[in-house]
Amino acid sequence: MRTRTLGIAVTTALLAVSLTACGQEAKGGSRYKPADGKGGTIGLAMPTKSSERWIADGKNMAAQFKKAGYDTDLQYGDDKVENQVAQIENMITKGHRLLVVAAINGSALTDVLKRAHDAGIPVISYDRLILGTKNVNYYASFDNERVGRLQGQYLVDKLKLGKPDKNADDTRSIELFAGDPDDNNTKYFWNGAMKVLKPYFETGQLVVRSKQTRLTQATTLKWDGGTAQKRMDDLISRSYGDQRVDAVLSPYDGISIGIISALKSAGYGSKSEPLPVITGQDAELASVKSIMRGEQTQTVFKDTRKLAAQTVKMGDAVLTGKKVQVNNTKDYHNGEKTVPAFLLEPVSVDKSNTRLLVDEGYFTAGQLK
Amino acid sequence: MTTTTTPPRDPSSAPPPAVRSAGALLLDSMRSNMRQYGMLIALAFIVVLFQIWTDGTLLLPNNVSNLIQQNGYILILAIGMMIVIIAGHIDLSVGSLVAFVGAMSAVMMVKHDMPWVLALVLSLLIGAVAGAWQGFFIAYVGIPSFIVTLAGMLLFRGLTQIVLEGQSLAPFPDGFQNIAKGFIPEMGPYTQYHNPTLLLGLATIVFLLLREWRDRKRQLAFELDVLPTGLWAAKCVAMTAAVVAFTLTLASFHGVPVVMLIMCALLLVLGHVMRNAVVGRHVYALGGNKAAAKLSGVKDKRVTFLVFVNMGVLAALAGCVYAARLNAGTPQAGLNFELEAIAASFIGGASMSGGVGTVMGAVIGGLVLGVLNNGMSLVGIGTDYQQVIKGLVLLAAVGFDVWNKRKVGR
Repeated sequence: MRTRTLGIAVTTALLAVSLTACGQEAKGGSRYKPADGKGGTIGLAMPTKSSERWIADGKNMAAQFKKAGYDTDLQYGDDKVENQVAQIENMITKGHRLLVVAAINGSALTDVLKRAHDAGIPVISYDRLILGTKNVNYYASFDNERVGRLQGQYLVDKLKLGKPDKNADDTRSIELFAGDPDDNNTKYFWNGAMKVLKPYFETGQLVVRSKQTRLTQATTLKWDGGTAQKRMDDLISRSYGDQRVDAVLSPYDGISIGIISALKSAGYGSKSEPLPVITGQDAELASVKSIMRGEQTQTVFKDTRKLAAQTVKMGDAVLTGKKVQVNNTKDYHNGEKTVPAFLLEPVSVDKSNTRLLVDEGYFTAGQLK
Repeated sequence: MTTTTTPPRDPSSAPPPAVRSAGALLLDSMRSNMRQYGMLIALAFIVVLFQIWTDGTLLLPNNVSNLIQQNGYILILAIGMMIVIIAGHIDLSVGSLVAFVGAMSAVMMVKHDMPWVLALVLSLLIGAVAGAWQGFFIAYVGIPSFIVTLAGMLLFRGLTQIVLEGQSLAPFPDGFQNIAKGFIPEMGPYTQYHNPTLLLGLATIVFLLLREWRDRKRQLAFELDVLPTGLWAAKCVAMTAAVVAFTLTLASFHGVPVVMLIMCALLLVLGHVMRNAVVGRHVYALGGNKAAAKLSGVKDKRVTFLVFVNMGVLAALAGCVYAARLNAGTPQAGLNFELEAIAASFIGGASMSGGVGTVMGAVIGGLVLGVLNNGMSLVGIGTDYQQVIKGLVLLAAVGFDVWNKRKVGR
């Protein structure tokens, strides 16, 4: 009878599966691990494909690791912490030799990195510092506080505030935006900018009319432009009925785009009512074009290819037992240890030097037309 | 496993037992359980597919253990959601409730150094209160569950952000973390395997076989159709083999994860309640035909209320498991979890009109999604494609059900 044959076949198959299961020893994927030196796979855990920069970061690193003789496993977590945790776990299971992690939430990876440590896999924290764990070997990033200082200084220069001066009678208004509260870098960007701006708040040369001057009031969940747009709408209608906003501190191009949309729908952006000075970060294509059109004023360019190259160099050194090059061993404490870091210098870009992006080969001349 | 939950067939349409061959009997029982068998087969297919595609990584002991820990909280939610859907309702607030309870547990343990057991109990209580709040409006005030829980989704998300002030709170005490990442401790002499897990596996086999035997005896006593002895034996062997394989796999890593223990307890208790207890049967009656159930004396308001209290407690439990897993209370926790739980329930055999489905089905549905997630991540398929594929699977599963029903109903 056919059904009986089928039943027996299924039973046999299940038994066979159970037998193969018996053969497995508690090694936890170690059978994939090649010997020391070159080769093997590098796990790259990136936050999201919703932002151009992470796509570029991932691509650059994958290409350069490949050139250095490694395979790569590049995964994006869709900005959900649990996705990233699962992806890192799976990378450990697959027996990757090194993990490069750009954390979605810097404080939610302690457990999974403990597992990486137990499996003997070194971890490089990429761009965003991973917090609360000893199991981070190195940190590769841009000088994030400097990003904030560049933004702050640009605002000061553009508004022609000069040196902080108690007797200056000119008062300019500014509104402040910050990044995602869960991103550890947010605080560095903010602090950097505040270091420059604070003296002017004290002299009264700069004033935040909405009085929202604390970091927790200025944060933008998930770096979302739409969220920033809503907040800017509200700020304008509440605090700028008959006055002008002269400057907006924005930590990221995506946020700047939202802010500009809000300003435009409030009537800014004409000859008589020009847009305020607006900062940004990451030199995303849409925003660089916006700068060339004269909407956004500035952005901070972080050449992620250089960061990728630096990370690849570090990773290669870790795996081949060479000395790992770092340039900061005291500033980046994650709550458990001071992580040795290599920091790259960011560059301020505005209408006057967008050519730089083409010269450096970051964009082609055609892209910026 | 759960044949008892399907509605009894109209006896007049069933042919007399003596005429029916074993094959027809098997086909018949398969058709009446098509959705669940179908999903079980689909699950097996997906497992085999990814086992081959990942060069055997999928079923490595440590990955099986990962798989359970990665999906524990979704499975817990799916169990609760299944019961809500059976009762003819929906709950959109669970994701936010997960975040809120996780946040509260973080505040209690991280900010106020509360002992973790107390904090866990309080967290579950918070979940019960939240569930009771929603259940009250749904059952006693009569606002549709869609609206009440939509409100709850906003409410609890906002409360989470207020409680956490937009930031993550970490770290949790070790005991609490173990809910999500712990395993039952090893004991006894050194074998190559994890001893307590072997014992649990053995107990499971004995339990399952005893139940099969008892059911068969009872069915024979009532002169019901049963599978022929040979086939029945094959089924028992197959079941045993599956449990043995699974046990040995887990036992050759760290053993049974704590989450799995929680899951099994929920499956046993809630499965039993839904199958055999009066209140469970009332949930089915209510979801199947509310008017008829009310006329037959089912206390519809109380049952609905209890269903939502149950969902609240389970969401709280999932919230604790999730927070423990990340070792942090985070404001964006639980985003879209309600949708995953709802998807798991429908893949696992729930019906939009209520009254149909089993707790086990929810777990199977959740596992289908979980294995897809894990397998695709192992292969290196991005989250963008993962979502596309999961969407198609959901559509296919429900489409298959609709098609199958139409065929049977003809």
